[in-house]
Amino acid sequence: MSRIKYFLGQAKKNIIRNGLMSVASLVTIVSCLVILGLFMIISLNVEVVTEQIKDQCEIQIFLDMDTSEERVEAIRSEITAIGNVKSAELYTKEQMLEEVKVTMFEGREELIESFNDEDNPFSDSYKIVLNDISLASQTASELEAIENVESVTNKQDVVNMVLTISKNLRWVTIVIMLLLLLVAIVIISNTVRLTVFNRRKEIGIMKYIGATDRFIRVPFIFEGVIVGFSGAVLSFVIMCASYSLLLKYLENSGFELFTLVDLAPVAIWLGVIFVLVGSFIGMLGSMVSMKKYLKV
Amino acid sequence: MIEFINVSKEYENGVEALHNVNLKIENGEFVFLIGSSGAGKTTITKIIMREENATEGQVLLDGKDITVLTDKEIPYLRRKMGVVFQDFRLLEDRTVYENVEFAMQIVGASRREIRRRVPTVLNMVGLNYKAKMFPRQLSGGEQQRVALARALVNNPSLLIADEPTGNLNPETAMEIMEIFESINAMGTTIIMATHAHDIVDAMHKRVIAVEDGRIVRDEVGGEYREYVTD
Repeated sequence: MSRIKYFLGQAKKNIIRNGLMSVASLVTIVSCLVILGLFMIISLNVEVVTEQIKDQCEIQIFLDMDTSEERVEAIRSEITAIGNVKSAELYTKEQMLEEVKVTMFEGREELIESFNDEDNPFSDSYKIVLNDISLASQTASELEAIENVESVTNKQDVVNMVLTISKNLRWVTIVIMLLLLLVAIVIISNTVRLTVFNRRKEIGIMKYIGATDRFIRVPFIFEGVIVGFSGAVLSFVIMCASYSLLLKYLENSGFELFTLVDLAPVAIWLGVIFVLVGSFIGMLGSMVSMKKYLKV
Repeated sequence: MIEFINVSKEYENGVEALHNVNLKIENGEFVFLIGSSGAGKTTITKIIMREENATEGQVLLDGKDITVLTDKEIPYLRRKMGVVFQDFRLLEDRTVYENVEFAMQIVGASRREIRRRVPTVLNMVGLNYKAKMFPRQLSGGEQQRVALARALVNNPSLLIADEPTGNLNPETAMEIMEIFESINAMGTTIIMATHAHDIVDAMHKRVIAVEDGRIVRDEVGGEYREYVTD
C-alpha cells in the first residue's frame, strides 16, 4: 500500500516538475481523442440514421383495382409466406383517399368531393416491412409475382446507398482510430523519452543504490496513465459539451430530416473508449521509452 | 569477504583495464585502492558492484560468484553494499531526509522502520539538523555526509567509495574520513579508491596499489608515496 502511495506521489511530482512536457502530452492525447470522438459520433449517428431509413423504407404493393375483399385478405397470407417479409399491413383505398383528402386538399375538400368510397380512384395496398433490407429487390420480384399485384414500389437505391456509406464509414473510423493510436503513442513515448533523458542521472543514482527496474519504471508508467486519463476526461468534457450544443442548435433550427442520437448513449460510449484509450496510450508510451536508460 | 580470482577486464573499446587480478579482502577490513588515473582501481570497484562485469575470472562475494548474476539480480547485489562517489550523486529534487529515506523505500522498508532509522543515520553523520534542506543548499562536505548516510542506512556489510574526498578541501576530507573510520570500527568493510596521498598516509590502512591493470603492491599499514608516483 505504502509503495503504491509512493509511486503515485512520485508520478504526481514528476508531472508537476515536467510541467511543459506533461502539457504537451496532454494536448496530444486530447487532440487525438477529440478527432477519434468526432468519428465515433459520426459513425454512431450514421448507423442510427441508417436504421431509421431502413424502417422508413418499407415496400408498398398496390393491388388491381377490382380485387375482391376476399382476395385482398388471401393475398396477405401469400405475402407473409415469403421468407423475408416481417409484417404486412393493409392500407385500404378508403384510407388512402382519406389521407389524400387530409394531406393534399385540406380546406379545398370540394375539389375532390366527387370521389367517395363508391367511386374511389385508388387501389388497396399493403405496406410491407422486410427482415433483411438488402434482399429487397429479390423480395420485390417475388411480391410482383403474386396474382392481382399491380405494382411494387421499392426505395432500394436509397437504402443501398445509405448501407454502403454506413459500412464504409465504420471501416474509416476503425482505420483512423488505429492511426491516431499510433500517432499518440509515438508522440507520448517521445515526450516521456525526453523526460527520462532529462532524468537519466537520477535513474542512474537509483540503480546504484539497488533500485529494481520495476521500482524505477512504475512511477513513469503511473505518470503516463495519469496524463492519459486526464486527457481522456478533458476530451470527454469537450466532446460532450460540443455535442449537446450541436443537438440544441439542430433542435432550435427545426432540422427534421433525421434525429441524431441522444447525448447519453454518446457520452457513455465516449467515456468508456476515451478512458481506456487514453490510459492505454499513456501507459504504453511510457513503457516503450524507458528501456534504454535502465541500463546502468 | 571479497575475492578476485584471475580477473581480467577488457572494455568494448579494446582497453584492457585489469589484467589477471587476484585479491582477497576479509570482512571488516579497510582497504585503500591507489594508483594513477586509468590504472584500474575504479574498474575494480565497478566490478564489485557489477556496474561492469569481468571479462575473465571469478569475483566471489561471500563465496558467491557475482560475475554470473543476471541483470535482474544486480539490484539485490547492490543492496548488500553502500556506495559513495566523488560527485555525491544525490537526488537534487529531494531533501536530505528524502535522499536517505529513498534507499530504504527501494528495499521496501516499512514506514515505521524508515522513521526510526533515517534520523539515527543522519545523526551518525552529524546532519540531523539539516534534514529538510536540499542538496544544493549544502556544502560539498555536507553533501558527501548525506551520501554516506544513504549508503549506510540499510546496514550494508560493505561500503564502496570511489574518490569520496576528491571534491572536498583537505579539512573537510579528514572529517569525512573520520566518519568512514567509525563506520569501519562498527564492522563494515570499506573499499576506497583514492588519489589522496595525505589521507592514505595518515590512516595506515591496507593499501592495494594498481598500475596498468595489475596489482603492484598490497600491504597492510602502507603509505601512498612509497611505490606510486602520480
